Amino acid sequence: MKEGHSYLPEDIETLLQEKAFVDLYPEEKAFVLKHVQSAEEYKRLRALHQHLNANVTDLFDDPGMPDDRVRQNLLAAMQEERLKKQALWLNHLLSLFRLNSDPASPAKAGAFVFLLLVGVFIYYRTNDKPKLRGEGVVVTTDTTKGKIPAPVSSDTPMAKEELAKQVLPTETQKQDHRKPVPKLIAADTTRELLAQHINSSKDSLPVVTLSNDVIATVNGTTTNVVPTIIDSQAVLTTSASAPLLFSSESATSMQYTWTNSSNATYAVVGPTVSIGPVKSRALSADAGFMDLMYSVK
Amino acid sequence: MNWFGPKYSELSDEQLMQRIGRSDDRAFSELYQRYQKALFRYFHRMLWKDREKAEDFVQDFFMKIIRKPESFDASRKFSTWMYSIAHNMCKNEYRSMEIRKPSDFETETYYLVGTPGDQIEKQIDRKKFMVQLVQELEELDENQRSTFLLRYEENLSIREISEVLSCSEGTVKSRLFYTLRRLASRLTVFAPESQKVSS
Repeated sequence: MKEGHSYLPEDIETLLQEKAFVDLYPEEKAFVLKHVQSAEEYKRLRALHQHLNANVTDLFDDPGMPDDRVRQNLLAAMQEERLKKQALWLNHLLSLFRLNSDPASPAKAGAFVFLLLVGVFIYYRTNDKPKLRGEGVVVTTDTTKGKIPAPVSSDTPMAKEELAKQVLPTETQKQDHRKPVPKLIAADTTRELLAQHINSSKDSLPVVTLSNDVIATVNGTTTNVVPTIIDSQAVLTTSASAPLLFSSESATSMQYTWTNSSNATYAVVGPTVSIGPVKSRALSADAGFMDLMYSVK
Repeated sequence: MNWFGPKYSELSDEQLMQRIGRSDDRAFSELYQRYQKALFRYFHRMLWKDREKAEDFVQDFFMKIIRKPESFDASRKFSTWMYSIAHNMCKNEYRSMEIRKPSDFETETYYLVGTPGDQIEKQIDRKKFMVQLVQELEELDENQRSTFLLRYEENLSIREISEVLSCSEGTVKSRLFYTLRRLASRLTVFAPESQKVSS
């Protein structure tokens, strides 16, 4: 304590802690003696103060720890509180989807729509993998009718030979172009539609089914086919008499043929390959070919 | 970067409180571990050494933390805040009780296990001193008792006590001085000559 300091009664606590009576400045002594009766009392107070500081923890009995059940109760409460908060969070999230519950909240509705769109986008991004590599466009057979062989009666040997020349590769061509063909994959919808169209034709055209592992079904018989390349076209040779031509990855045209009930072989050729949902169809009964207008993917 | 999360033992009380706000069980366990004893001791002293009541109060205090962690003022030191809440809980209890429960200090035991023979007499004096001290503390009002316990038993600073009790530091010092004077005049067993205090 400095001289000239205006001592407050509470400062005695500090003096007791720091100074013996003999060490006090005259002003401090004067101040102290205003509040204690004598130097002796100051000594007693100081001794007690120091004794308490040093020993009070030892002097008191130690009550120890609270019972462990307190801890257990608290941890259970903590867990309950956490679950409650999680439930609240989930409810809050779900409330975003209840548009009618809060019509005055366009922000929530907007958030809901946004989440929905994001969900749809993610779904299609993950599920809408390209089914046919190299696809780009859809075909209309209108543009290719000229390339399609005219319906020929397969009864005549001449006709069969003609068709074979047009559609089937020669031995030399087969050897030259025999190389692995990329998988031809048609989207499910396309496959089904194609089958439907062909099935629904009055000519009882054979069922042609495309599948991911390139299985052709002709006249109800599923056949594993080994495609070979002919001029950038994959030829699926089936056990049936009618060859099925499909485009390969690098093909610029798509062609498939089938044999109708009268054993006539028809073919449809398209300029480029892109399997999408069929937009329109037209069956030319007399010619035996089918116009299929595909949508562009 | 700590791949296994923080070391809870190294986090400050205030950081633990933040985590408890996010329902972190481990943070709560750590905080409980740190303060269960001090808080229990405080309640035990303040509530007439009623062990069950003190346990209930400890539980109630930590329940408050679990249910309303946001009630903690992050700008304050946790221990100071804790004692101020504890003090208020005791005050409420005093109000609800209205009467003071008589001290049961006489049932306490003071063990002299391992005490050398030549110090037994001194230990007995200490026991007498302790018994009288506890009795005297029972006579104090709750503010004075709380001030005394926080200062001498919990070793809080004057400033911290003033925060806990929401009063000025001067008031704390005055209370301590008043309590000290009262004790010095009543603790006959206390012999200042034997304390070897330079005066």
